Amino acid sequence: MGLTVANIEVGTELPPLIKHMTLQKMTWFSSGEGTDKQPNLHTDAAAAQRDTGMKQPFASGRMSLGYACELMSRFVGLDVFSHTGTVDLKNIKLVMPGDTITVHGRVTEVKPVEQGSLVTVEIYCENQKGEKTSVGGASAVVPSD
Amino acid sequence: MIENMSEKERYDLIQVGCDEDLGTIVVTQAQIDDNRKALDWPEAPFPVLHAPKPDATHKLFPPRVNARSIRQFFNPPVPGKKIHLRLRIVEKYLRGDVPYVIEETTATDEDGRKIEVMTVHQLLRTKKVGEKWA
Repeated sequence: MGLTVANIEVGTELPPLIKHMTLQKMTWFSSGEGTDKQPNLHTDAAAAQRDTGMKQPFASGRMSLGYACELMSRFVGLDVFSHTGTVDLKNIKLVMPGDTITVHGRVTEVKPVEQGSLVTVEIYCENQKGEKTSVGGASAVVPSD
Repeated sequence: MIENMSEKERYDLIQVGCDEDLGTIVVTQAQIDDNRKALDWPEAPFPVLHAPKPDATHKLFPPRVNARSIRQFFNPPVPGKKIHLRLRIVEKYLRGDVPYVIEETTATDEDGRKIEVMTVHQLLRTKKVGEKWA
């Protein structure tokens, strides 16, 4: 049975998503940042040292946000999420190359709205040590039929 | 000039409510593909849209670090279509004595379709990252 408003319940745990961070992925993601397209603190050790005092580059927090988007898209459907989705994530710990990130979600509210139901999900990301790296939430409007 | 100013002087120059045109970009299929590879998600529809010119806050604080990001999606970008970016300074604040700014960027394509609204809380004292985590 596909996802419908009728079978979304508060407390439902979304299937976790597991991602492995590498410097190559960070470079693909962040090399377009900055108007000069120079190596930056997410792609280059010297830039990370100069700008932040970190010895190596760390992942952009927006990568974790992207993971949360995938988690939600798998749950409500890509088309639904692409037109009604919102993700809000606060970064609380750095994600480094070599880290494995698991994204968790749990439905916290299902509220009727004009176009269907607004489904709200609590989301957090944690690393391989079980430390939370991002916390926040996401939502999307799931059509009634 | 700016490099001779203190952090507080630069922070005081940030104008809340300021609205800026960040110019027009064209998202390419290569950008979409890079985003998909980066996220390990073959269907990822929304690459991060990078402005072609720096906003006023970026000129005051060249390196920034995202402390919190909010992305609200309306329509996936279509490769080859022009996308216009407009930025608004929503707020600035101090947590402890550490400065942050909240910027909201709205992306709209050449057909008038809203693509997304991205709101970012930027940490402006980026050395704080190394002080905490190095």
